[in-house]
Amino acid sequence: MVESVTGKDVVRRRRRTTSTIAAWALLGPALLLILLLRLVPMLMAVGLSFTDTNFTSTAAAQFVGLQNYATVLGSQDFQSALVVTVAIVVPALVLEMGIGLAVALWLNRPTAGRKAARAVMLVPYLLVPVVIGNFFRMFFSAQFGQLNYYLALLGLDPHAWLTDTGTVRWAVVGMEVWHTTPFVALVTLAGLMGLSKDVMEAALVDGANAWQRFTHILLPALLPILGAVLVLRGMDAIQLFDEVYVLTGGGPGRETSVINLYLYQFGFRQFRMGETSSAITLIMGAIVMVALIVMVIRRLNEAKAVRR
Amino acid sequence: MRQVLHVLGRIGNGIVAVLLVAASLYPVAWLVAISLQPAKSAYTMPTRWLFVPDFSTYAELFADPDFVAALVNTIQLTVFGTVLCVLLGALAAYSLSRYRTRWSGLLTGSIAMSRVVPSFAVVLPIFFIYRSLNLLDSMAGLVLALTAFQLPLSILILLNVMNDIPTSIDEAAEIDGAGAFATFWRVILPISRPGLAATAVLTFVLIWNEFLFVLVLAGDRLVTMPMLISTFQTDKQILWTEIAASSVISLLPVGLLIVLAQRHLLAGLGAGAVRE
Amino acid sequence: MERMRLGSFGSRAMVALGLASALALSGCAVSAKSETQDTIRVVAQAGGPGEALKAAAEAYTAAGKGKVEVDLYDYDAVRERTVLGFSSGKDSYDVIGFDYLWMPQYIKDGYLSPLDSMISASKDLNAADFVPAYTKWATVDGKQYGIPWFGAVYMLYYRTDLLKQAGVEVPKTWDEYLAAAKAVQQKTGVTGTTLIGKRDDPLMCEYWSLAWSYGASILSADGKTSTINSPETVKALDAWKQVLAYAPKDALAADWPAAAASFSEGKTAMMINFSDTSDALIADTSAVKGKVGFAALPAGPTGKSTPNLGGWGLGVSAKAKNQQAAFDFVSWVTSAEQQNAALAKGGSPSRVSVLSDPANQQTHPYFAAALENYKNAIYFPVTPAWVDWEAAIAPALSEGMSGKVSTQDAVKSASERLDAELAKG
Repeated sequence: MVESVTGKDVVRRRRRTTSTIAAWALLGPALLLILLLRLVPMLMAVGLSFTDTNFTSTAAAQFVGLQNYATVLGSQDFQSALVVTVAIVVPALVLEMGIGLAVALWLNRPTAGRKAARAVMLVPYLLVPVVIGNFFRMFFSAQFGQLNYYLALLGLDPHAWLTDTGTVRWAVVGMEVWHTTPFVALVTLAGLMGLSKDVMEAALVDGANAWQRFTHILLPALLPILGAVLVLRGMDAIQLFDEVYVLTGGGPGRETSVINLYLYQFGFRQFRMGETSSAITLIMGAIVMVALIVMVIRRLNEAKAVRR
Repeated sequence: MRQVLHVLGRIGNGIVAVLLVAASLYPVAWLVAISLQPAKSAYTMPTRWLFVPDFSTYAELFADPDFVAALVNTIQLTVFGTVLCVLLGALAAYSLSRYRTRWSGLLTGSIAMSRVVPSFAVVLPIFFIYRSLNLLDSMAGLVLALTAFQLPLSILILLNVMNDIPTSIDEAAEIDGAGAFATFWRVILPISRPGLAATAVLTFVLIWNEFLFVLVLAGDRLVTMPMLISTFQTDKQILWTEIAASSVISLLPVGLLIVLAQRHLLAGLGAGAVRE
Repeated sequence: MERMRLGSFGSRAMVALGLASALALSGCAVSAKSETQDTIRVVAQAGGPGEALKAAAEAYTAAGKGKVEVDLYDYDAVRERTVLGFSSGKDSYDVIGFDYLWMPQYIKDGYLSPLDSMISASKDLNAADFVPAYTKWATVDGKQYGIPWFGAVYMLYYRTDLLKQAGVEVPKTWDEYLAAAKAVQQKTGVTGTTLIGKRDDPLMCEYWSLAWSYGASILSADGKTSTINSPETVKALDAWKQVLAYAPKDALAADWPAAAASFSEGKTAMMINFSDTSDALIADTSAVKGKVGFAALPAGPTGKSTPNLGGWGLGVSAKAKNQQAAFDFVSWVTSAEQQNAALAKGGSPSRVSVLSDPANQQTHPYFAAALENYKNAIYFPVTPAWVDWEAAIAPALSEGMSGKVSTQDAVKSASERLDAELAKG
């Protein structure tokens, strides 16, 4: 048997035959739920994408092949939704991860304000998204907003944050960063706390200073955690909807019409399930492809490293 | 010189703490302030922080049976969903972490992938499924759907947590004759408390704030807090006092959970804190 | 550690947990409603009229006329709940509140019962008293499907003190309107007027209230082609764009509540908005109480004033078990007496008698202007696909307003998008 420090590198073969049964029994209920209430609906959605189902119509759905896909791909709204989503999600993720990491590192030290900050830090993440949208709508309001008010105190002119096409996306990014950085900080902190003991002690023993500790020991050890958090947040970020809907409704024009707004518009207000499903299938397909490419690249890198 | 740096460092830390607290709390503080003043205060700048509090909106809300029903429903839904999610997630994470089969990588990958699916994609198909199973407008159906939706996150977080627990612990338990489940229940779970606490908090928040699933699957009788709060924003006016008050009330159960979870989060930290 | 084996303590705990969960889950959701078979269930929008409806329902139940329960949701959710309720196959609402814009789709999919026989058989309804535009709007293919619930029509609001200060008369045409906004802004420093530019419905309502009076139109007479791409439409869009200079900076993100807030907090000197946002202005807590005037919407080059018509209706569900009982409630709650009673709670009348009543005009000075605007009111094309059309046209117009594209291109694009929708059939 090959032993190792953490469960990650374990390649063990338990001698008992009940092990595989136990493995599946433990996994079973969760897997079942996910299969039934996530996988099956997803497959249904893919199936629906080949029909012209309209939720409200009493006529039977007709098979229309790839027509929905053609409509969606050619649709300016869809294309714009993709661009907007990337333009908002990428900066937001960069900022969240950066600030979240910094906050987590800071929270990991036994400083005086830490306890107060830690208790309170999660609050932004707890608020109902609709309320967050409403608050920031007021905050960024050209006439009534707190931001313009405090900027005026500093002598700056009031600005129409939500209608200036140059700033509205940043307003959404700002709102999102405020909303979700606590999540990043919390999960990173949880990972950090698991690390701290072994890793930090090792660093202290070697007499490294703070910066060396950070770059040579902490950061590499943190990378897996950060990677995991990035994946988690990335997938969540695509789900952005309520706050943006309340904040701008997708406007001005289509500046902030993220993907879910597009899906809501077509799938819910117009109940065009066939088209919406094809849009969703396309999006999911694209993301899966990206993920596969990333995995393949990683495998190749690993193989390269092994060969050396 | 050392001393000066040390003091500066402390002040620096203090400033960071204050900034963090202020940034996190400002909107909520604003909401609290608005909820206790007449509606116009929402439009008045600068915000008045010193005032005579008027609790009448809170009183009105609690006197409204629909509001209380929504609050109770939301608490019920969220507690069941969170418990189920954390439990099943921990079981699944344990299995994936300790029992590597040919399928482990694929399963973990697919579970991670499934988070990509927007809720819009699955909610209407689930509506159809529930319609045929007659699970519409039922607390059980809603709990199951929301649990299924949040499970991947739970599994992924707990998988990371459990992967960091050395298998030497499992071996020790095995030597003592513990079976798979017992090892899980009595050994791994307690050690994973910080991770469980974090997962519980995140799942709680996500389920509490869920709007779409409730709207589509819950039917006419099951109203939750997010839906209720949205009724204060009509197409002709925004009832700020009511929105603020109901949001503040909505924060309390979650806040309570955080306070409870803090102790567990602290437990994990206490064992291996770095002293500076 | 004690000796443990799979199948002992651990699994017992699991079984216990499982049973407890099952029991808890089977517990029903809590509801404030106690319903029986005879309960008449109503779905409607939250807000002033919704609260009034709820109070009226309680009065109806208390008076022993029948048991009525009202569910209030936010604007979008009412439609979603209605559609989902019908698709769910379960018993759903008996009385359906709807924005008239949704009504054609409801009719096409069989949600609503035609009410004509019940209307003619009714002694108390006094259908002639309703604002005529509403009765007309609710009638499709010769059958009437809704009874007017609350009324709303576009109106011009202005600050009597600020216009006086600037030496400006109440504008009667759009050119005068623009000039007035400019003058007031320059002479008093207060922003001239509001502009509701948020996509989709808010923008469409205000824009077309202006564009129709320029002679623009949306649909050809046969309903088959878009007539948006016309010089009149472009002219109207240009005119509307000019107002932006005298409106709040984030007007393109403003919807009806935002404009109402701007005006009622004294930040703008004029407002164009629905008539049912007026109550806040005349309330005792209003910052502008006593300083507000109400007028007919300015007219365009065609000489006509064309305010957009809003408001909701109440229909009887085709699936309602007791159609007559549902209708009786609708008839009662929209009666003149009830509409008068609802005024105090935030209702907005749809009956001419209630609007013309001198006592009401004293307490609600905007009724006179509202009546005048109702006479000229125009509503959007009646089609089940209106939500789709709006979603096609509005973003294009919004881009024209934000300057992303020229107004000509915006109008052309809007028209093409509508044609694309029409082609879908």
